[in-house]
Amino acid sequence: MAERAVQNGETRPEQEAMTVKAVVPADNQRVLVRVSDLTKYFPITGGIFSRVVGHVKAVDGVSFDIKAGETLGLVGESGCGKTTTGRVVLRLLEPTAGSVEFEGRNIFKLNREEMRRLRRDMQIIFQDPYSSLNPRMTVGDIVGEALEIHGVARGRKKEERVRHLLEVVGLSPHHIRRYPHEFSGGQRQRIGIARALALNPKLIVCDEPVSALDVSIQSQILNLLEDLQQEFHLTYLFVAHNLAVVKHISDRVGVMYLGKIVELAPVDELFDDPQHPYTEALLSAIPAPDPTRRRDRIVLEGDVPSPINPPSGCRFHTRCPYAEELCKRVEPRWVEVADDHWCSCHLRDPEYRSQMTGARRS
Amino acid sequence: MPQVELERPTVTEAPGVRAPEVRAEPWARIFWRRFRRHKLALVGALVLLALISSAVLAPYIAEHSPRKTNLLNRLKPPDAARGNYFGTDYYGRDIFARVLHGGRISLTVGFLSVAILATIGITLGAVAGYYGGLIDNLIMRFTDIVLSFPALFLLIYVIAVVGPSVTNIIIVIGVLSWPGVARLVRAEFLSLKTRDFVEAARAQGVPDSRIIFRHILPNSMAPIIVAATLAIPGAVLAETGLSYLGLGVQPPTPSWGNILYEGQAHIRRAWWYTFFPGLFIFVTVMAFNLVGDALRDALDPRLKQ
Repeated sequence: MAERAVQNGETRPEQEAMTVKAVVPADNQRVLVRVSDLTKYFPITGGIFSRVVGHVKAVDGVSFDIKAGETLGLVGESGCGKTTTGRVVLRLLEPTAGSVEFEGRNIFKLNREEMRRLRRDMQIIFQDPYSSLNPRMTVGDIVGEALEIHGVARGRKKEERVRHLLEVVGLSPHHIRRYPHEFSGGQRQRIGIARALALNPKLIVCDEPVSALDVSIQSQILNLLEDLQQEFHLTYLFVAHNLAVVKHISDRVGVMYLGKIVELAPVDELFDDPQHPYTEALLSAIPAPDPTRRRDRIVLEGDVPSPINPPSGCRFHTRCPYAEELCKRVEPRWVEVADDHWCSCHLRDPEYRSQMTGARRS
Repeated sequence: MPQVELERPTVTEAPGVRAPEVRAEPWARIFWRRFRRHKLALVGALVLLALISSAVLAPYIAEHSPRKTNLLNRLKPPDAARGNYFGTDYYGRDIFARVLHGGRISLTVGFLSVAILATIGITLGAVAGYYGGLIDNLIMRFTDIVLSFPALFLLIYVIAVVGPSVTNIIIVIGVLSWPGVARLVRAEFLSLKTRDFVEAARAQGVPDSRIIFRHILPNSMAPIIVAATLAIPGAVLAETGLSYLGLGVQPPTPSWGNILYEGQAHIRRAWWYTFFPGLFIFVTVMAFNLVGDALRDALDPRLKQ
């Protein structure tokens, strides 16, 4: 067990890569995306000369795999870095450190042209269907642009393909000449999905795709996403803060807190048997539509600490009901607590539990 | 892949996602409806139309030639019977004809120099705003430098060096007055480039140049059109100012500025000599400003529908 554990924070990249490789399940599910020790700091500048006075540690050493054909959910509070993670995985933002391997190639090592070609394989669906569509372009131009610039189809062939895509996402092909403002929120989201599908991508990062929609529309869009996944063998990285949505659509779920993934497990296991105290608290906050059921809600004290200056040791120790002395000083290791169930908490670390004494690390 | 497999029932029939029955109002009609609300701007637009057509059709409207002197008919007051609607000047030339022909020069200078300044301003502002960082800093500091020169002084200096001609005036005004547009375009790009639809274009591998010109620029056209419209009277004034100082259009070619200059010596004896070119300058500048203000209101995307 010990050699399969990854020590967060102070791990050297090669050591991490080795340990992560051991995580890959023996079954034939291919890893499509491997994120290793991904870090994204945003500089804060101040003063007259815009000196860098600090960093917002939006994503701080995140590692996970996305297997081909699965949906990996990423949940967490606002500001925990889940959206940033999605953007960096697509290289819409440059990382501060770490790597993202797409089908074995580190995308941050690709040059401009190689990256442009790779964009055919990875797409994004946005949260806000109002700001994600160019108000001055017709639906046909929005959905068909990628086909044109990647030289897939132009002219009549492009139009045919766009009409087909509109039909696939449940819109009428006659909508092709309309402008975004002529559609409702749900329809706009469908246009966004058609655009993401245009180039037959392998990976789609769904950045809170239903959060901005009416509840009655949410399920329609979720079902559409599920159908499309089946039909086109898509892999999703599904970023959301709505636990019910994540539970519904994900195969595996990662829980983020202050720029780190604190727990990663198959969806049923995570919801039935959460290991990390934060996950526990998060799950206890799901409203149950049953007034007779009494629940023990774990109410966390205080606010999320600032990502500019995150707490020492375990980042959750300031709000954790079980925090011990060690949690304040030593960062917990990333440990596989059950089959394919990973968690970073001292309390779940078998080595720590057997010793129950001070810090083992220098 | 068999076609059938991809067929799926369209869900537009579902209650929440019904397509709008009526097509949304065309963009142009919304624009017209809003523009119409400004009565003064409508007047301004009509005046501009009249000014432009009078300049274009000057040879057909004026009965006299703007260059033909008549020493027996000097400094005569307006006389409709003789066709000298605005009187005659010191050399007996018809001021009406000279003002209309002068309008050709003034308006040409106005439109062309604004075309130049808009091109430079849009390009520099777009590059600065889109790329940011060092490029942005370099371009904007250069903009500050250009802006820090007293405009008229610089105009006079450059014209004195390159020599006065209509082409030179157009180029010099255009090349010296783009900073305002550049700043405006930069600000637009700064706010638009963070929008999701730009991110979406980047995610699809759309090249930068196409993002700038196809995605961001069309969305920032409204303030650019307004700024360009409001820059035209500035250019017209700069031209008349230069001509008044003798550095613009050279006599005997008429221009509003040099008619004013010639007329000031006779201002006590012949009020019409300076009054009519002055009136045309005033009305032109006023009309452009009124139309520009109305455009600003009509094109403002915040006032949706």
